[in-house]
Amino acid sequence: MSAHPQYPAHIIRSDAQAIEVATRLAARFAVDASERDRERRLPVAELDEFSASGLWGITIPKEYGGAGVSYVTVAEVIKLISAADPSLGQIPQNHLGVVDILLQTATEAQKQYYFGKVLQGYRFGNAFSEAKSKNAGTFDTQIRFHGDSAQINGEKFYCTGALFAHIVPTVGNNEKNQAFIAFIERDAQGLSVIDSWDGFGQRTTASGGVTLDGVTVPLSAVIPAHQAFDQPTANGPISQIIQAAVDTGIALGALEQAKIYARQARPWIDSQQEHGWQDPFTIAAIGDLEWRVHGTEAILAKAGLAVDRALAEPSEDTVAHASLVVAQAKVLSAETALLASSKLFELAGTRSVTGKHNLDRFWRNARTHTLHDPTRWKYHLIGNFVLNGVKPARHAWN
Amino acid sequence: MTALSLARQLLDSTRRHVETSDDPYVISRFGDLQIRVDVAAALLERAETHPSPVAATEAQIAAAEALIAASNAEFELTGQRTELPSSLDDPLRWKYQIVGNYYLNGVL
Repeated sequence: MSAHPQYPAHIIRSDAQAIEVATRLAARFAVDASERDRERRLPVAELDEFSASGLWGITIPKEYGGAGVSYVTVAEVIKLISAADPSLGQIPQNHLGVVDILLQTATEAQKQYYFGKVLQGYRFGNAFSEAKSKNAGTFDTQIRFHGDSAQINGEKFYCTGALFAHIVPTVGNNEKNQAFIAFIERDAQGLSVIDSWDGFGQRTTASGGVTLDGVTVPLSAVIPAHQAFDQPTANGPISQIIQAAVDTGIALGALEQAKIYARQARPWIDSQQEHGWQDPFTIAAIGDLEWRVHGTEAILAKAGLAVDRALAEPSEDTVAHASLVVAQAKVLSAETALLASSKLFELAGTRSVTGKHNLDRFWRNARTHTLHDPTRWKYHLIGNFVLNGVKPARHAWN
Repeated sequence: MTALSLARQLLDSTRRHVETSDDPYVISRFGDLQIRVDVAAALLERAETHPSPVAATEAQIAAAEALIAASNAEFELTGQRTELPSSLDDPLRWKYQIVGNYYLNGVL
């Protein structure tokens, strides 16, 4: 992968246009999604098409030449793409998060420079998480400042998108344990991206490792990312709403297949019906999935509005509110995706587990992606506000 | 009183009874109830703004499930149980069938 995009990106001008482009792309991505999953064929050409469509630049504010769309639209776009192929839906997740951290913490010159790059079609990957640090929020990777440059050393994992990126934003801590992000060009000396993701789901996200061996960047390529959480900003809810949108998409995709295959199922012997679709229990089970998916979509849209408000008027209260509504979307989307992708087989019958259909990809993807952060602590986060009036902790997982 | 407003009322009275707690299981129980109430409210709003033939039925299912969960939590956490209206005239179990038959078979 080079440090420059293959094609210049289209510029999207409005929310409606973003939805239209995402709908068209999703239909194309759906065609070979199963095959890509089965063969773990990395979606290189698809990603070029995806970022060239302009969808990776839609959150850039209007004053910087983007469309500054609502997060209701961002969630809808990610949901549409993820219903077709959730690996493709997940890959821009950190890119979009980074665009917002730039907005929150970069200098004016850095915003002009990096937003300009994104509008040209540059993709950010990420080298944030570490598999060996104490927990998800701690980093052993170091950044050290020397005069007008900074040096980064460390080892990362779960680096979704880094393999396909033109620029790899990398988190490192300084001597005071404050997190900074260095924007490292994909072909920089000392940066290695390793195609080591072998998870059973989200198989084509290439969420593998990155090593940083004395990578040096100018100070102009470093932002004080910790400031996005020292102060109340929308960054945590923005990261999380994209997670919820991916899982909502998986639920939609699974429910669609459940209906197609349930319609073709043989009638159960005791049902005394001519066709599987007449089975009263199958019908009611589809009814149960439908209201849950629609409820999830309705809360996801509410979460988008709450994020918009936290972005427009950042305060302790608006950011806490956005975290709380996004947490609801996260719980509902995770549970609905797992339920729909499992019920699919129950309603379609044994023939649906045939390898050629590859219908297990929905469950594998749902189970894998929903592990990003556990819903059990989202129930706690919401309950702790309802019962004890405690606002959610501010970090990238809330 | 609608199922949704009764669910809200039970959640609120149970919360006032418990007052505050640092028990992680009690805390997360309130998270669960709040999600159920809010998703029912969101589906009711959806039925009003984006009407589909079964959208109101979907909102009724969500509200009924929220009410049952709130009533169970009330009993578990306070030892008391507010009497619920009978649903015999309008059974919840057939609402899933109505929604499912529309989306699976296109039948209203």
